Amino acid sequence: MVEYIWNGVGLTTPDAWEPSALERDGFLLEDQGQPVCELKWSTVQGSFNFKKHIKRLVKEHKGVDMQGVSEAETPNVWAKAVARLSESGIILHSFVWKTQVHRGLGAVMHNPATGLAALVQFFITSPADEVVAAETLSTLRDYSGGKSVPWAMFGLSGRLPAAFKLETFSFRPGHYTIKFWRAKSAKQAGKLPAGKGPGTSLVFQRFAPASVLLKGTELDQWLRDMLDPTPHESVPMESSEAGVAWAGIATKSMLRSLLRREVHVKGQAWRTDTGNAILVVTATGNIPVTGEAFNDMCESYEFV
Amino acid sequence: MVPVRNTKVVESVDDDDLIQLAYPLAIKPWFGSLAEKVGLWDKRPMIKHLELDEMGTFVWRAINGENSVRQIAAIFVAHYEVQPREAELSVTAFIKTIGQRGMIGLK
Repeated sequence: MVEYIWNGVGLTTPDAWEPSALERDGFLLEDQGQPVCELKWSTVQGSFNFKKHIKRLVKEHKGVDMQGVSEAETPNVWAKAVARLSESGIILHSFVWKTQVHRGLGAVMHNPATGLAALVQFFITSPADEVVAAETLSTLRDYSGGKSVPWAMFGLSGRLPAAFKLETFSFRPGHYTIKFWRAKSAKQAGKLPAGKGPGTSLVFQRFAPASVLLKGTELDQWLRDMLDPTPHESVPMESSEAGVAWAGIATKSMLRSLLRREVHVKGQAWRTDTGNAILVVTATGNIPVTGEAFNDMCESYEFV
Repeated sequence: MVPVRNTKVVESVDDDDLIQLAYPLAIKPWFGSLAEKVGLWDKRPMIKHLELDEMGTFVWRAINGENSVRQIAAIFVAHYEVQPREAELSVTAFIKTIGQRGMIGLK
């Protein structure tokens, strides 16, 4: 089984399922090129009207026979999964749909404790799929309410303080990047877009294959040449057997110091024992991350 | 799909064990006749050269007329320990590129 945790929401799926589309607030999973599961979510303030959302779904999918159903009308395994998930405080309303070719089983969910509202649907082609769908549904987890939030995607995982919000990401062959942003205060986080104003940018990167990238060069030199943004020359890098680490103030002047606009940087990079990759974590911004918090994030960053 | 090398592609190996490929450039007939008329081309095949990096060399060597694209991606995964999905994307993109240059065909 593989656990995908993305932007605070997690789902454990069969090994063969893999993401074919990934957004900030959702993903589509496929099995051998065929869609099997779609999960979307957002955060809502206040109460959540299930009937309204299911009605909207029905309206948006004209030509699809879609309807909200009670748990008694769903397969037994599905009803059990819904009951199990309800024990964690999540409220669910199931729905079914069918076209001439496909049919599906899904649920609209709301977690009153965190405000998470989600829609999950499974593409069903045989009764055996209903069992897998139900088992997968029961593994759904809302991590958004914790002090720290895990993430796990494309074979990598990490954990970071909940104040860091997902900003951008890209998973290109050879180079994965996931950027998070922590605004100076929650008030500013609501006003300014991610990456604007005072705050800290936290970036997790994975480069592969390390055996090719590091041929004829040392890790610290490779980082100076290839990492974007390049670690500032004024910030010394310390190399050890474990890897390379750097910390300091990248941009400093008396004026910046007076205005508290100094740019603090921290970074760690290491070559993994397995997976033939280079993992890099950097924190950059005018709100420094404590050494302990940064080390914790680096330690959590690993191959699954 | 099984990629097959174009027999007209000439392979050489440099000191770093990286492959350089020399392949005849496919010239569009209208361009060929025009170039010939104005004296820019004497009908001899134009040869282009392509230097492969380590991973390109590895994939080129795996193209033996028997391995399918999927098998080449699997060999790539086993050798470089990258994820299957990114190996498939990389290998497919490479094969597409050299296929567009006429260096391989697919059977």
